[in-house]
Parts: sequence; structure tokens; C-alpha cells
Amino acid sequence: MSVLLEIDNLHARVDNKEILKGFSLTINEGETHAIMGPNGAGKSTLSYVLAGREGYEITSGTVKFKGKNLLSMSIEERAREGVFLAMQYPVEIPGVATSTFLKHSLNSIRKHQGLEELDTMNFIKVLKQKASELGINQDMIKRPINVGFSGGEKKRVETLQMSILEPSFAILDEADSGLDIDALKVVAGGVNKLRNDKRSMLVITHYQRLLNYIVPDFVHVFADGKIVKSGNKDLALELEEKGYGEFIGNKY
Amino acid sequence: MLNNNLVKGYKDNIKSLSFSDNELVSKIRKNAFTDFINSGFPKAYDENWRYTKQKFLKEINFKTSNHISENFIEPELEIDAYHLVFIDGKFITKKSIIPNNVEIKSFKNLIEGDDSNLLKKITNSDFVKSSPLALLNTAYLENGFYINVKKDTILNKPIHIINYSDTADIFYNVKYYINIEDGSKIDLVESCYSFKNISYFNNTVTEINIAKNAIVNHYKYQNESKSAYHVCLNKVTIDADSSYENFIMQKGGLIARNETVIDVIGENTNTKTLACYMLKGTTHSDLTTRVNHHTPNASSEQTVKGVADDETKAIFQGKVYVARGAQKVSGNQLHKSLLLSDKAEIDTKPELEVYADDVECSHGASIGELDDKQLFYLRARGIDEELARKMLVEAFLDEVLEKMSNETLRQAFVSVIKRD
Repeated sequence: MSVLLEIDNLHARVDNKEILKGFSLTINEGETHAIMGPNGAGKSTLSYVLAGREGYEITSGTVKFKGKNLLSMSIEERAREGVFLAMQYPVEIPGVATSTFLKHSLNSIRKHQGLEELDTMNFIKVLKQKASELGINQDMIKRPINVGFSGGEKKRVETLQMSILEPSFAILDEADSGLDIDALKVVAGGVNKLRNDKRSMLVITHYQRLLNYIVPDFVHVFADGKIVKSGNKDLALELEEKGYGEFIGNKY
Repeated sequence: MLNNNLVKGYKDNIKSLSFSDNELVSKIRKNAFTDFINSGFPKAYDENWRYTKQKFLKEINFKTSNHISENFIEPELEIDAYHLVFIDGKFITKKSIIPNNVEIKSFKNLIEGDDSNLLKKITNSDFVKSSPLALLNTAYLENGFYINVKKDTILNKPIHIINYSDTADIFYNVKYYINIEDGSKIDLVESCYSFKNISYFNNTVTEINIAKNAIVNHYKYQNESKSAYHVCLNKVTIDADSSYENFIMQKGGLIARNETVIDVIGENTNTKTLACYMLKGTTHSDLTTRVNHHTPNASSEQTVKGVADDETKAIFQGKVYVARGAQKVSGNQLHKSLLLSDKAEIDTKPELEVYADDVECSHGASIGELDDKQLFYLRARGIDEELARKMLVEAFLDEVLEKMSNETLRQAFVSVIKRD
């Protein structure tokens, strides 16, 4: 099994405050890892640092993705290489239709991979089929990105994007926030469908509930900027029962 | 103060204009020139010119020209329309396609047809007399149109006034005088553009009189050469039960100023002034509008949005005036803009001047930047930064374009933005 992502002793800060303090994690192809931690542990920072968002200063450490230096790539290069961040709070963009955006997005990625760009007709065909699998109606795709969507709709559209862009590595940042149980099942079902022996996922959450639906291969406890304990899916249940304090001291 | 080629060289300049030997034309020109000398250029302290320093008017060293260029490049705006074609401000009959149910007379027609009353009327309005640049326009009177849309005329296609500039270092003046009689419906489109990097000065004056129960859409695309001066004055009068919609897309020019004054003189009217600007390089764009409500029961809306990149400067001055007794008027005004560069500047001055007590008026202005979160979101899906910025700018401007009521024309403007 080959290594997809290798994070080694990563330190990162925002506004002079150190958030990641020696974070290390290796993810092989086809593995799903879950990171659980209390609020403020730095979970979202980790996902933004991996996706390349500006405003985070990497002070030391390395991140290799498919053997390449991920940290030297621009935001869009990372996406084209196969990194996908499903955001906790997907951004609303009035004036840009979801379908137009996704067409640009898919074609940017296809071009990078040396594939032929899809014309509007073929793209719409793919889009319609994937959308109906996730119970997303045609009206929503025509509407501006995320504008007026409910929490559940936003997460469904994030899942739709993932299924169209077919990344090799997906980060799901609090994929369950704002979802009721029915919406959660739809989103988790969509995600599970995308799991295969090549594609890896990093599920970031602070509740165990999501992991009943997206069952991870590994679970890591994240606190104070690094991983403090790793185990299999049972670790999540143990965390749920005992709380974070048991693992990371009474500080939380 | 007036020590300038346009003034000092006036006598020589007008010799090169057509109709110099016509007595009436000479008289009209001379009177206007005398009035212009008395009034002078707009003053440095003129509030209307606060952000566009009028100094450039005195420094321009251009001449009029009797050369007629053979070059013509089709306008960027692709629409199915009647055409009135001008090259360097000179009307080109053979390239024009004129509708047969509208009376359109070029100045040549008026002068040769000895229609002196009409000629006097369209060159001698109070508006012309009150504005130095309109006086200068009359002093150099040569090209333009009188258009009369007769009662209950519905035009099946827009009239596209195409003004292409091809010759460097010239000063030209164009005048449009448009009458729209009761019950008519007409779409007017103007394109002012050049595909050369040349300097010239386009001084255009448009007067539109809209009678009762008429619908007029008046759209304009301005993409002059990046070294050109474009100063346009529009005066519109709207009578009862009519609606007037103005849209300007402002892109080019070294200094480009569009001033629109709208007098609402009848009840139950609807006035919309929409504009967007997309500035690059060193363009200085000035949009100045004034809506005067003289009568009650009317609504007016101004929505302007734009982006300023590089070292550009964008100005929006908008005023809504409501006269005493003009009750039940609603006047809303909004200007939103984005600075895309540290060296760009945006000045905005929304104003309300209200003398009636039962009105609903509002104004708002904002200057911001592209949203980092939106930019990140698009790039995180593989879209390169340049395209992502372009998509966000288009989306920002869309809020103005979507208010245009002629859908076909709207699409033509949208395609121009997308092609950019």
C-alpha cells in the first residue's frame, strides 16, 4: 500500500499564535482517518493549512502529497493534484451559478490531468446524474453557489462537488454540523459511495455520531496542536463515553 | 483661463468643418462660442466637477479634422439593430441602416433642407445655454441627428448609434436631439469605442424629450481608447406616465465623464439609471447623475456598481432632487464598488436634496474588496486565481445588469463582459 499523504512535525501559526505544534500523520491510499478533538484544538487550521488558505504561517515541518511538497503549491494546484476540502461552512457566492462554477472547476482539474475538457452538454449530463444520486434537484444547481441553501443542502452540494471532481484525498471538516439525522445519512451515504482502495479521506469531527455512518479505519485524538492518541474505530466510542479529559488531561 | 487651442484656434478650426459657408450655421456657432467665452470652462470649484479636475480641458491641443477615415471596425456589442454609424464623429450615410417609420434627419439634411427653425431649436435649449461643454459642442456644431419618433410608434429593433474613433489628435463634437412622442416605445443603444491606442476628444451632447405614456430604454457602451478623452452630457425630460431606463457600461478612456441630468415633469413616471464600470490601466471614470423630480407620484432608481483595478480612478456623484410639492416620490440610490488594487481610487458622493415632506428616498454607498473567503472557495476547487477573480467581478456587476429590462440587449452586454 503506498503512502498518499505524509505530514511530519508540522508547526503553524496564525497572527503569531501557534496552533499546530508538531502535528504528524501518515495516510495511505484507500484509508479513512478520523480526527477528533475539542473545539479550539486546531482542527480547522489543519484543514486550511492542507488546502493552502492564506493567513497561516508554517514555521516548521513538511507535508508530502503523492511524494510532492504540498506546502509549495498554490491553492488551485493542490486542488488539481487531488486535494478536496469539504468545508464546515461552505461559502455563499451570489451571482455565480453552481453549474457554471462546477464546470470551470472540473475542467480546470481535467486539464491539469491531461484529460479533455467537457463541453456544456456532456458536463450537464454528468452533473444531472450525480445530482439525482444525492437527491439534489435541478433548480438547486442553477441557483447561485450556496445562496439560500439550508445547512443540509450546502453539505449535500459539497458532497456533489466531491463526487464530480473525484479527488484522491478528501478532507471533511465537520461534515455533520448543522445536519439533522436524515440529511446526515444522505451525506454519509454519498461519501461512503466514493470510498475505494485508492481514495483516502480525513474526517474531522468533534462528535462520534458521524463516525457511525462514515466508519473510519483509524481514529486520532487531536489536542493542543498535535495528535495525542491513535487507535481504531473503537477509540471514538471510548472518547464518547469518557470525554476528552480522560485523554488529554483536565485542561479541557 | 481660456488660453487653449480649442479657443485660440477656434477660427482656424471651424474653417475645416462642413457648412462653414452657411449663414445660419455660422451664426449659431458664433453665438454659442461667444456664450462659451463668457462662461468659460467648468470652474475648479464647481461641485459637479469636484473629482474630475477640469484642467485637462485647457491643455488638450487637438484640432478638428475634415479627413474622413475609411477604416471601420464593427462594435463589440453584437445586436440586431438599425445603425447610425459615425467615424471620428462624422456621420457615414452608406454604413447606416435607418428605420422607415422614424423621422431621422442628420444635420446635413436639416441644413440643406433649410429647416432653420428646427436647427435653432435643437441647438438653443436652456440646457445647452447652461453648460459650457454643451456650448462648446454647439460652437463646433457639424455632426449629429434630429430624431423624431411619432406618436404610438413601436420600433421593432433598437437604434444603435455607433461611434468609432480611428484618427489621432482630433477634437470632435456630436449632438443628438431625440423627441419621443406619446405612446411610443423605443430602444436606443450607443457604442463609443476605438481599437487603437490613440488620443482624441469626443464631446457629445444628447437631449431626449419623452412625451406621455412612452417607454424608452437608453443603453450605452463606452470603451474608448485608453488615451482618449470622452465627455458626454445627457439631458432627458420625462413627461407623465412614461418610463425611461438608462444603462451605461463604462470601460475605456483616459478621462471619461458621463453626466446625465433627468428632469421629471409629469406624474406616474418611472426612471431608472443603471451603470457599471470596469476600469483597468490609468482610466479616470466619472459618472455624474442628477434626477430632478418636479412633479409628484413618481419613482426613480439609481444603481451603480463597479470595479477599479491598477491605477484607475472611479467617481460616482448621484443626486436626487425633489422639489417642493413633489409628494409621493420614491427616489432610491445605491453605489457599490470594489477596489482591486492598492493604487486605485474610488470617490463616491450620493446626495439627496428634498423639499417635499411625504417622500421615500434613500441612498447608500460602499467600497470594498473581493471577498477572501469566496476567492479561496473557488480556488480550492481548482479554478485559477485570475479566473476566480473574474468570476467574482462578473457576479458583482450582475446585480446591475439583471435590472435591465431589455433581455436581448442585456445578454449582449453580458457577453461583452465575459469576453473581457
